[in-house]
Amino acid sequence: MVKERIRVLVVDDSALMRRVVWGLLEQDPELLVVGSAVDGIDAVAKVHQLKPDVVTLDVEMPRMDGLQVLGYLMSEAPVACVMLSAYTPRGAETTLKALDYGAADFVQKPSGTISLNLERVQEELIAKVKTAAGIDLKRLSFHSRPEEPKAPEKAAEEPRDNGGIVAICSSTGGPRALAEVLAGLPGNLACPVAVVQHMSPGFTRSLAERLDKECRLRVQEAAQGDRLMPGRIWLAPGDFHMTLERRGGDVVVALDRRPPQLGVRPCADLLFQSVAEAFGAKAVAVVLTGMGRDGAKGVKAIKARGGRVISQDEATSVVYGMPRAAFATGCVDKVAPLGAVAASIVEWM
Amino acid sequence: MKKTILVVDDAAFMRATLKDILGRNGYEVVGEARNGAEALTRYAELKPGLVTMDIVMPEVSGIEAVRRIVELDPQARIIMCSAMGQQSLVVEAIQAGARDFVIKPFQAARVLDAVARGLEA
Repeated sequence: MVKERIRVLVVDDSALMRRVVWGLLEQDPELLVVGSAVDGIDAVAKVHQLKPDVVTLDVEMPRMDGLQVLGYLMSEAPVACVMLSAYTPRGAETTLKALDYGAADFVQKPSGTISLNLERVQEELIAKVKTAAGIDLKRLSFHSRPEEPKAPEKAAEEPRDNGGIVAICSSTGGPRALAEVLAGLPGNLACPVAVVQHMSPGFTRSLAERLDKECRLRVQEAAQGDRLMPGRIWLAPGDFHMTLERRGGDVVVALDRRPPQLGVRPCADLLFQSVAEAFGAKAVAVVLTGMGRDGAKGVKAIKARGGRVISQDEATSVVYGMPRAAFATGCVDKVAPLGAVAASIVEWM
Repeated sequence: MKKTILVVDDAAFMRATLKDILGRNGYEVVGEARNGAEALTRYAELKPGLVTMDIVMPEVSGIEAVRRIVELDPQARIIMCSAMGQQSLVVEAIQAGARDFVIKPFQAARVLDAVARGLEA
């Protein structure tokens, strides 16, 4: 039986970009580009008319911007949307908002150095479009946040240090999952938290800033040499691997540009392996929603040194890829729905 | 005419969008409802100057809600909010007693125009 091809609608106000994206997608035999739209209104009409499986949606467009189109589609004609977004500080903020509005994922637009990074963008775009086509859209409903979330009180003093660590990884669906888990951690958590979210550079900084506003613990993008402290959260910067190492009495962040592993940088396996090495039985590793199998090798290392492992359950995962791969290793101690992950972490810390 | 409005839509995004457009332009959204049954209860409670009513909703549809609200208050001012491609339903809603309609996705100017006319009529 011939597998039905995934029908894709390409939306972008730039004629060049429409042609580029169409061309990139068309080279994959499983994808069929069924049309393109030049602005938001056109996009809405074409979705009703062509009923695509996936829409690639430019974030910034005239007449009606990508967020409005996305909100409309997820409300009235649900379809998986992969946002195409230029990296600017404002663009990053809007892109994170798009994930709240129900976008399946996003890809950073090929930009100035177009010929250099086109191949990598192609691979990422095709993988994300295919993943998006398989997502249960009910898990991506519009999630409203207050424009200026009221920041929870941060703990006034540094919590005691129990010598442990929490290491978390996530990918597709991760930003929303992280917001829920990290905001659920208490202000007096007696250990640091290290997080790998597969995301383009620049966007990780915006994500860290946004999470910082929503959590009782301080959240920051990790920098080379940062000394870990209890009650704080470090997010790996996009395009760097993050590992932790003991230096004297301290544990510090090391960032490096080794080649991507499993197609990703940062790679959670590397973080988890270093955490197993540095913290042994005092480590808790958490594998959240995401495509692929990053984290699986890492949880084996954690388990081998006596640490504990939590994986997100299938019912609450936007994409049950990474948690499934982790579970399949036999090294998972607890499978938890998203809403119970924070409590499970606290129980062990 | 009082500028109080009840927004009825099953989609949170649509309610938020309307609240934003109306709130910025001198109207007060006094209540929200997610289906036709809730709309009826809230209408009776709040007696708003105008209702924006989604057409396709779970449980009690927008058209049925218009019938029931008009039965309760023949002077009710209701404008329908319809997604693209639901024209036949709009006609039915107007017959049921709605005064006007706007098409989603919302454009602020059209929404404000319809609401202003709805309140004058």
